[in-house]
Amino acid sequence: MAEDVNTSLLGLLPEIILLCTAAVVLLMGLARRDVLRRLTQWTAVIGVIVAFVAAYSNDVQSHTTALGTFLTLLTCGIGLLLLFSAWEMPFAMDPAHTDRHYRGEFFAMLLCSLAGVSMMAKVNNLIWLFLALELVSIPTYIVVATGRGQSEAQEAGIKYFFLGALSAAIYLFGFSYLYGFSGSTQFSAITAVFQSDISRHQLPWMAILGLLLVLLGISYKIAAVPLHFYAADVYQGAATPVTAFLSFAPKAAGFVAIILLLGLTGWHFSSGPDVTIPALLTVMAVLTMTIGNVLALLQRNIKRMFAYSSIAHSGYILAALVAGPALVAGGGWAHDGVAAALFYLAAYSLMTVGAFAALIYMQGKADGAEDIDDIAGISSEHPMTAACMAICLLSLIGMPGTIGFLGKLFIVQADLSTGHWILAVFVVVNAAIAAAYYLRIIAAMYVREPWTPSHVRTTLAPRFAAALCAAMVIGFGLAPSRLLSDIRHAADYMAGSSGTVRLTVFKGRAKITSHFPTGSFGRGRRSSLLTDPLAGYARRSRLAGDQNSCVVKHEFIFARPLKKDTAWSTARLLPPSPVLERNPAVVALRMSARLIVR
Amino acid sequence: MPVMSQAVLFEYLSLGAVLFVLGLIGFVARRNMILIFLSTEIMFQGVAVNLIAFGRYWMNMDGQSFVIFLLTIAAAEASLALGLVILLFRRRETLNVDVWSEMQG
Repeated sequence: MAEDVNTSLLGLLPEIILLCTAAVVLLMGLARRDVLRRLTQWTAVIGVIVAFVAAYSNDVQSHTTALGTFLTLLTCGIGLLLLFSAWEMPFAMDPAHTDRHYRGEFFAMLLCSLAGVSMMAKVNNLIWLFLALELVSIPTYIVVATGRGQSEAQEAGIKYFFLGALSAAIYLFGFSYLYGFSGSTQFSAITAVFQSDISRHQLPWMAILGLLLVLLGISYKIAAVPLHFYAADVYQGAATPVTAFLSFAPKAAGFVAIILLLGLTGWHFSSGPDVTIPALLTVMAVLTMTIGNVLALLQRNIKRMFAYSSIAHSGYILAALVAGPALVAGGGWAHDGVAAALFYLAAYSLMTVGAFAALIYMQGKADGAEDIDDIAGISSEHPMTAACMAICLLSLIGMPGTIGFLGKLFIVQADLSTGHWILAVFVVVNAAIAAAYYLRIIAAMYVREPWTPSHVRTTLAPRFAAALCAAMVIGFGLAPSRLLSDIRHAADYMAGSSGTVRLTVFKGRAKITSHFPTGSFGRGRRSSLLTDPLAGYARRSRLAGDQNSCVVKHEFIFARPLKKDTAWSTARLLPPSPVLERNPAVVALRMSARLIVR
Repeated sequence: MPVMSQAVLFEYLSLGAVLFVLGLIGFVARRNMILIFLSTEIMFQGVAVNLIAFGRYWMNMDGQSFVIFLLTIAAAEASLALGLVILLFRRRETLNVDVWSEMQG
């Protein structure tokens, strides 16, 4: 038993490393000796690199899912770039007294939050999911409020915190209904209940209400409509490195949470009987991208503009999620909305962090340049940084040759191939609208005359981060195969159901047994009886499980003895969930049923 | 122990929903920072009532263990909230949130 715990903890090694580093950095940041305090940045960087290497090792990968490994690597990679962007935060908090007020503990908060994001895809329980989401959010409330001395930061902090607590309460209320509907907080057990219930025409109100509240609450984390309005104030008020952090950490965590939760329901899109959730996601996606882009057009403040553009990009990712996961694990890109969403998430993180890093460098220590006029003509003074920013902005527009183009291409492909052509049209039209305000920044940098001639020189770290981001934006845009195969692998985890399904037909009875080997169902069994006089059968469903597996049995008792064609119709009685649809066993079963009929 | 009936379960669920909605109304209607925060706490308690009632209904421990973690996080948020409120109070000498609306647009 002890060994079992040890091996399962091994999958969490990167997060453990990040949290231990956070503790060390927190202590070092409070040290008396100045030398020790100044080592906090390096300690944080080394911790993130060690976590990245640990996530790569086979020992760790064998104890987690492909999605978990992908998210950990993404988090550590982007986290490293964010640390470089935030390199001078400890001085910048109080420019008047750089030495006495040097606050090394700032990085501890970033590391805690990164550990939370990295943990997101490894959770298998609603309680864990809640803890991971809060581990991401709570440190961000602190860095927003204390990131800089101006009163805007505190205004942003209090708005962010109160709305964050409200959103947490909303999605928790949803979690409580999901638990009440399924009787367990384990993901595997919840999936089994959704699958056994899915053949009804309508899900029970409790499940629908739970999912609605969860999506509503998590829309705050990803800055999507209806809880998007805080974004502009918070992005503007927070210090710029913190803003860069906000555009990655809560968003990545929120989207992975949505992917996991929709995975619980079996993604019943297209073939599912209930359209409430897909319809809601479609409306959210359309409103989010349109409102974000239209309001971004009106902004003069660069950080506010990035806030609205961040809202718009959340809309694109939601549009990808509406397409749902691939029909067959290991299939092409065309049908796979989850892979498109994960790719866009990675691409957006790179582009936006690069743009923010360049902005941080241009702003200098005083944290001054906020208005678009402040960076006018900056290309003559800082040609390198301006070029990095321009590359990232062109990628945000979606120019061919950059990673942003591939991201939008995959989303449009996924939407078109699953029949959501309205969403595809909205994505394309919005990309065109967005070009206007991104090009305005590029034009200001290159075409206009300098407004304020002198800019304070700062450390090279943010510039290094910007250059790295720009290089990767181009590099992955031209040669994406490695990234694509990783994401393919991660999304297949969502597409493939590893369970087996068996159908036995005997006289008046047909039994369907599905077996889920992953996760724990908890102890106990549950059974339900559903009678459908029109179809002439009664369905008795039993759920049973132990620590390692979960078995769902449906027994159909027919009024008449089964004939050949009834065997076929029984095969069609299988819960029409895409997760089962994709299972090779079910496909084989349907083929054989069809053969019997012939 | 007798199993909880659905009728009793719905009484508890109604209590949870009422607490949640009261908290929501308080969040929107109040202007005092401490009262706004307490409103979110009331919403959390509504969730806790739900979880415990469901835990009793399904006769497993998931609901109760969820509540223990919920209370821990709520306590962490409470300490953070008080720290923030003190930080803001020192600057403006008032607890009214309406004075904190400089950023617009």
